[in-house]
Amino acid sequence: MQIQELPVVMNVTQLVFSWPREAQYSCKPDEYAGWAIEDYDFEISNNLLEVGDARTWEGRQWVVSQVEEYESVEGFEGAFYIAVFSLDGAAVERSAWALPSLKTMYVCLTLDDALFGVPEHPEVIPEMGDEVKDMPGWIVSAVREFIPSDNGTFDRILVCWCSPVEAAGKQLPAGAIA
Amino acid sequence: MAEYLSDPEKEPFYWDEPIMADNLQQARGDCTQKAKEYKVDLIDTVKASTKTRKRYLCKFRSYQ
Repeated sequence: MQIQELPVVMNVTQLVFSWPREAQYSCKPDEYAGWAIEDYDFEISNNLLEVGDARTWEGRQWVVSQVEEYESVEGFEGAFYIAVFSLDGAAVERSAWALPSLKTMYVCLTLDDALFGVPEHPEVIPEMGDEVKDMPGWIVSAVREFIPSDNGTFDRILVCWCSPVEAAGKQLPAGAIA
Repeated sequence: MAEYLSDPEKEPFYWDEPIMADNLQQARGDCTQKAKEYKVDLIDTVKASTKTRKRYLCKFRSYQ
Protein backbone atom coordinates (compact mmCIF):
# COMPACT_ATOMS: atom_id res chain seq x y z
CA MET A 1 0.00 0.00 0.00
CA GLN A 2 1.26 3.46 -0.89
CA ILE A 3 0.14 6.25 1.38
CA GLN A 4 -0.43 8.49 -1.62
CA GLU A 5 -3.08 6.06 -2.88
CA LEU A 6 -5.35 6.67 0.08
CA PRO A 7 -8.63 8.33 -0.78
CA VAL A 8 -9.21 11.89 0.30
CA VAL A 9 -12.60 11.44 1.96
CA MET A 10 -13.84 7.99 2.76
CA ASN A 11 -16.29 6.19 4.95
CA VAL A 12 -15.15 3.08 6.75
CA THR A 13 -17.80 0.43 7.29
CA GLN A 14 -17.55 -2.72 9.32
CA LEU A 15 -19.65 -5.32 7.53
CA VAL A 16 -21.19 -7.78 9.97
CA PHE A 17 -22.58 -10.87 8.26
CA SER A 18 -25.04 -12.51 10.61
CA TRP A 19 -25.65 -16.13 9.68
CA PRO A 20 -28.88 -17.95 10.50
CA ARG A 21 -28.74 -19.42 14.00
CA GLU A 22 -28.13 -22.97 12.88
CA ALA A 23 -25.35 -25.23 14.10
CA GLN A 24 -24.18 -25.92 10.56
CA TYR A 25 -22.80 -22.37 10.40
CA SER A 26 -21.07 -22.52 13.77
CA CYS A 27 -17.33 -23.08 14.19
CA LYS A 28 -18.26 -25.51 16.97
CA PRO A 29 -21.35 -27.25 15.60
CA ASP A 30 -21.26 -29.98 18.24
CA GLU A 31 -21.33 -27.42 21.06
CA TYR A 32 -23.55 -24.85 19.40
CA ALA A 33 -26.12 -23.41 21.82
CA GLY A 34 -27.95 -20.78 19.82
CA TRP A 35 -25.67 -17.77 19.88
CA ALA A 36 -25.33 -15.43 16.92
CA ILE A 37 -22.84 -16.44 14.24
CA GLU A 38 -21.00 -13.54 12.64
CA ASP A 39 -18.28 -12.93 10.12
CA TYR A 40 -16.69 -9.58 9.47
CA ASP A 41 -15.22 -7.56 6.69
CA PHE A 42 -14.49 -3.90 6.09
CA GLU A 43 -15.35 -1.57 3.25
CA ILE A 44 -13.64 1.71 2.52
CA SER A 45 -15.81 3.69 0.16
CA ASN A 46 -17.61 6.91 -0.58
CA ASN A 47 -20.83 4.92 -0.69
CA LEU A 48 -23.18 4.88 2.28
CA LEU A 49 -24.86 1.60 3.04
CA GLU A 50 -28.52 1.83 3.98
CA VAL A 51 -31.03 -0.69 5.24
CA GLY A 52 -32.12 -2.81 2.28
CA ASP A 53 -28.86 -2.44 0.34
CA ALA A 54 -27.34 -5.70 -0.88
CA ARG A 55 -23.82 -7.08 -1.04
CA THR A 56 -22.43 -10.36 -2.32
CA TRP A 57 -20.08 -12.06 0.11
CA GLU A 58 -18.81 -15.65 0.15
CA GLY A 59 -20.99 -16.39 -2.86
CA ARG A 60 -24.23 -15.38 -1.15
CA GLN A 61 -26.46 -12.34 -1.41
CA TRP A 62 -26.70 -10.37 1.86
CA VAL A 63 -29.03 -7.51 2.77
CA VAL A 64 -28.36 -4.69 5.24
CA SER A 65 -30.75 -4.95 8.19
CA GLN A 66 -29.35 -2.26 10.49
CA VAL A 67 -26.71 0.45 10.47
CA GLU A 68 -24.91 2.31 13.27
CA GLU A 69 -23.19 5.59 12.45
CA TYR A 70 -20.16 7.06 14.19
CA GLU A 71 -18.98 10.58 13.42
CA SER A 72 -15.49 11.98 13.45
CA VAL A 73 -14.38 13.60 16.69
CA GLU A 74 -11.84 15.70 14.81
CA GLY A 75 -14.43 17.02 12.37
CA PHE A 76 -13.08 15.18 9.34
CA GLU A 77 -15.40 14.31 6.51
CA GLY A 78 -16.20 10.63 6.36
CA ALA A 79 -17.72 8.49 9.07
CA PHE A 80 -17.50 5.00 10.51
CA TYR A 81 -20.43 2.64 10.15
CA ILE A 82 -21.34 -0.78 11.45
CA ALA A 83 -23.67 -2.43 8.92
CA VAL A 84 -25.31 -5.67 9.97
CA PHE A 85 -26.36 -8.00 7.16
CA SER A 86 -28.69 -10.95 7.11
CA LEU A 87 -29.48 -13.31 4.27
CA ASP A 88 -33.12 -12.25 4.08
CA GLY A 89 -32.80 -8.63 5.22
CA ALA A 90 -34.72 -9.31 8.43
CA ALA A 91 -33.50 -7.66 11.63
CA VAL A 92 -31.07 -9.84 13.53
CA GLU A 93 -30.53 -10.24 17.23
CA ARG A 94 -26.83 -10.01 17.96
CA SER A 95 -25.34 -11.74 20.97
CA ALA A 96 -25.40 -9.63 24.11
CA TRP A 97 -22.28 -7.60 24.67
CA ALA A 98 -20.36 -7.78 27.90
CA LEU A 99 -18.04 -5.04 26.78
CA PRO A 100 -14.94 -3.91 28.64
CA SER A 101 -15.46 -0.70 30.58
CA LEU A 102 -13.66 1.16 27.80
CA LYS A 103 -16.50 0.35 25.34
CA THR A 104 -13.95 0.98 22.61
CA MET A 105 -13.22 -0.89 19.41
CA TYR A 106 -10.06 -0.22 17.45
CA VAL A 107 -9.60 -1.13 13.82
CA CYS A 108 -6.28 -1.36 11.99
CA LEU A 109 -6.71 -1.08 8.23
CA THR A 110 -4.47 -1.80 5.30
CA LEU A 111 -5.77 -1.84 1.75
CA ASP A 112 -6.23 -5.62 1.76
CA ASP A 113 -6.78 -6.68 5.35
CA ALA A 114 -8.08 -5.51 8.69
CA LEU A 115 -7.55 -6.28 12.34
CA PHE A 116 -9.88 -5.20 15.11
CA GLY A 117 -10.11 -5.62 18.83
CA VAL A 118 -11.92 -4.71 22.01
CA PRO A 119 -9.26 -3.62 24.50
CA GLU A 120 -9.57 -3.99 28.25
CA HIS A 121 -6.82 -1.43 28.92
CA PRO A 122 -5.85 1.77 27.05
CA GLU A 123 -2.23 0.56 26.87
CA VAL A 124 -3.02 -1.92 24.10
CA ILE A 125 -4.70 0.59 21.79
CA PRO A 126 -2.34 1.22 18.86
CA GLU A 127 -0.94 4.70 18.57
CA MET A 128 0.59 6.69 15.76
CA GLY A 129 3.98 5.20 14.87
CA ASP A 130 3.36 1.85 16.56
CA GLU A 131 4.09 -1.32 14.65
CA VAL A 132 0.91 -3.41 14.62
CA LYS A 133 1.83 -6.51 16.61
CA ASP A 134 -0.39 -8.90 14.73
CA MET A 135 0.32 -7.40 11.32
CA PRO A 136 4.09 -7.69 11.01
CA GLY A 137 5.59 -5.06 8.73
CA TRP A 138 2.73 -2.59 9.17
CA ILE A 139 2.90 0.62 11.15
CA VAL A 140 0.13 2.96 12.29
CA SER A 141 0.40 6.07 10.14
CA ALA A 142 -2.74 7.87 11.31
CA VAL A 143 -5.45 7.44 13.92
CA ARG A 144 -8.96 8.81 13.65
CA GLU A 145 -11.52 8.77 16.45
CA PHE A 146 -15.26 8.35 16.01
CA ILE A 147 -18.16 8.55 18.44
CA PRO A 148 -21.74 7.39 17.95
CA SER A 149 -24.05 9.81 16.16
CA ASP A 150 -26.95 8.27 18.07
CA ASN A 151 -26.96 5.16 20.21
CA GLY A 152 -24.03 2.95 19.35
CA THR A 153 -22.70 -0.40 20.48
CA PHE A 154 -19.42 1.34 21.29
CA ASP A 155 -18.68 4.68 22.94
CA ARG A 156 -15.62 5.12 20.77
CA ILE A 157 -14.18 3.72 17.56
CA LEU A 158 -10.51 4.24 16.74
CA VAL A 159 -9.51 3.70 13.12
CA CYS A 160 -5.79 3.16 12.64
CA TRP A 161 -4.60 3.56 9.08
CA CYS A 162 -1.54 1.43 8.48
CA SER A 163 1.35 1.72 6.08
CA PRO A 164 4.23 -0.60 5.35
CA VAL A 165 7.14 0.09 7.67
CA GLU A 166 9.27 1.24 4.75
CA ALA A 167 6.63 3.84 3.78
CA ALA A 168 6.37 5.33 7.25
CA GLY A 169 7.17 9.00 7.41
CA LYS A 170 5.70 9.89 4.05
CA GLN A 171 3.23 12.72 4.13
CA LEU A 172 -0.50 12.14 3.88
CA PRO A 173 -2.46 13.99 1.20
CA ALA A 174 -4.18 17.13 2.43
CA GLY A 175 -7.68 16.42 3.68
CA ALA A 176 -7.22 12.67 3.84
CA ILE A 177 -8.86 10.94 6.74
CA ALA A 178 -5.97 8.53 6.70
CA MET B 1 -12.49 -7.27 35.56
CA ALA B 2 -10.20 -8.46 38.33
CA GLU B 3 -6.55 -7.63 37.96
CA TYR B 4 -3.88 -10.02 39.11
CA LEU B 5 -0.90 -8.02 40.27
CA SER B 6 1.19 -10.50 42.21
CA ASP B 7 4.17 -8.19 42.23
CA PRO B 8 3.83 -4.81 40.51
CA GLU B 9 7.60 -4.35 40.55
CA LYS B 10 8.08 -7.32 38.25
CA GLU B 11 8.11 -6.89 34.52
CA PRO B 12 4.78 -7.85 32.96
CA PHE B 13 4.70 -10.93 30.77
CA TYR B 14 2.47 -10.83 27.70
CA TRP B 15 1.22 -13.68 25.56
CA ASP B 16 -1.54 -14.59 23.10
CA GLU B 17 -3.76 -17.61 22.84
CA PRO B 18 -5.70 -18.34 19.65
CA ILE B 19 -9.30 -19.44 19.96
CA MET B 20 -12.23 -20.21 17.69
CA ALA B 21 -15.52 -18.39 18.25
CA ASP B 22 -18.72 -17.63 16.38
CA ASN B 23 -18.56 -13.88 16.98
CA LEU B 24 -16.51 -11.20 18.71
CA GLN B 25 -18.84 -11.11 21.69
CA GLN B 26 -18.42 -14.83 22.28
CA ALA B 27 -14.66 -14.58 21.77
CA ARG B 28 -14.41 -11.86 24.41
CA GLY B 29 -16.45 -13.98 26.82
CA ASP B 30 -14.25 -17.04 26.22
CA CYS B 31 -11.11 -14.95 26.69
CA THR B 32 -12.50 -13.53 29.94
CA GLN B 33 -13.18 -17.04 31.19
CA LYS B 34 -9.68 -18.20 30.34
CA ALA B 35 -8.18 -15.20 32.14
CA LYS B 36 -10.10 -16.14 35.28
CA GLU B 37 -8.93 -19.75 35.04
CA TYR B 38 -5.32 -18.72 34.54
CA LYS B 39 -5.57 -15.95 37.17
CA VAL B 40 -4.09 -13.39 34.78
CA ASP B 41 -5.32 -10.18 33.16
CA LEU B 42 -7.14 -10.20 29.85
CA ILE B 43 -5.95 -7.07 28.09
CA ASP B 44 -7.44 -7.44 24.60
CA THR B 45 -9.60 -9.64 22.38
CA VAL B 46 -8.55 -9.39 18.75
CA LYS B 47 -9.78 -10.51 15.36
CA ALA B 48 -6.36 -10.54 13.80
CA SER B 49 -7.42 -10.72 10.16
CA THR B 50 -10.66 -10.70 8.23
CA LYS B 51 -9.14 -13.30 5.88
CA THR B 52 -9.49 -16.05 8.46
CA ARG B 53 -13.00 -16.54 9.75
CA LYS B 54 -13.85 -17.47 13.36
CA ARG B 55 -10.26 -17.12 14.59
CA TYR B 56 -9.50 -14.74 17.45
CA LEU B 57 -6.66 -13.97 19.83
CA CYS B 58 -6.94 -13.64 23.59
CA LYS B 59 -4.18 -11.35 24.84
CA PHE B 60 -3.09 -11.85 28.41
CA ARG B 61 -0.75 -10.18 30.88
CA SER B 62 0.68 -11.56 34.07
CA TYR B 63 3.27 -10.55 36.61
CA GLN B 64 4.29 -14.03 37.72
